[in-house]
Amino acid sequence: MLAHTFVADAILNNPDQINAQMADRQRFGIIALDSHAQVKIFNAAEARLSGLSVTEVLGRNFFTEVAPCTASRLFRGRFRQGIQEGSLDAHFYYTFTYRIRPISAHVHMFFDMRKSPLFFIFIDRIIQLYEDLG
Amino acid sequence: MQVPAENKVITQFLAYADELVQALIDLSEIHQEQRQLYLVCLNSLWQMLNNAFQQDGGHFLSEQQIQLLQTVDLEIQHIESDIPEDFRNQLHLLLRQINVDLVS
Repeated sequence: MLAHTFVADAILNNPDQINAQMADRQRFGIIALDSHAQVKIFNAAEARLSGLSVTEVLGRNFFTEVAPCTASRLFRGRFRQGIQEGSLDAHFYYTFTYRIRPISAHVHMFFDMRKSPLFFIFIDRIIQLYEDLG
Repeated sequence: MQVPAENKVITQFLAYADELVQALIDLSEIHQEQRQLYLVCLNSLWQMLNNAFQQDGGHFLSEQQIQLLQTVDLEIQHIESDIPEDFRNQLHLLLRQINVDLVS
């Protein structure tokens, strides 16, 4: 069963106030995409945990250029669903495996086009799995 | 730990496909085409497995599922090592930007 969101209500209620400086103050990963999946915000926690630098991911397509293992029915499918419908508030678990040490995370996708044009992906790493597999 | 039956099936498939590729190693033109076709197949297989294992996001992948994805990924990296970059890029674009109704 999915845990309750790790994102504060104050953030979810005011997505228009999320900017790079505010995102950098959070302990969990924050990625903001435009409707074409181009990365607009990539916070410090996400950069540290993913090993990717902010400068190398900003402006790039998240699904094809930044995180190919998210180009799945579950992850990108939810993104497209949200963009099509104009809103999304969805939680799921995801295990990242593509050419990285396996990492499991609680993912919260949030989009409300009435409040912000950006689609937010909040990522809370749960544990690093099976470290012996490298 | 017991290996699930599907892991054995995939492992055997990878071994057989590799034999098909290696069987034509003396015919360079066909050998290269076989490697390219195999790369298309492996990338599709990885996406199929990832979709199937992640399901609707209600749980994490098991150790066996992760191992299987990594096995296929290692084979992809092995085949990619001498495939022209242009072909690899075209394939990635095809698989990740294909019609929304076919691939999410």
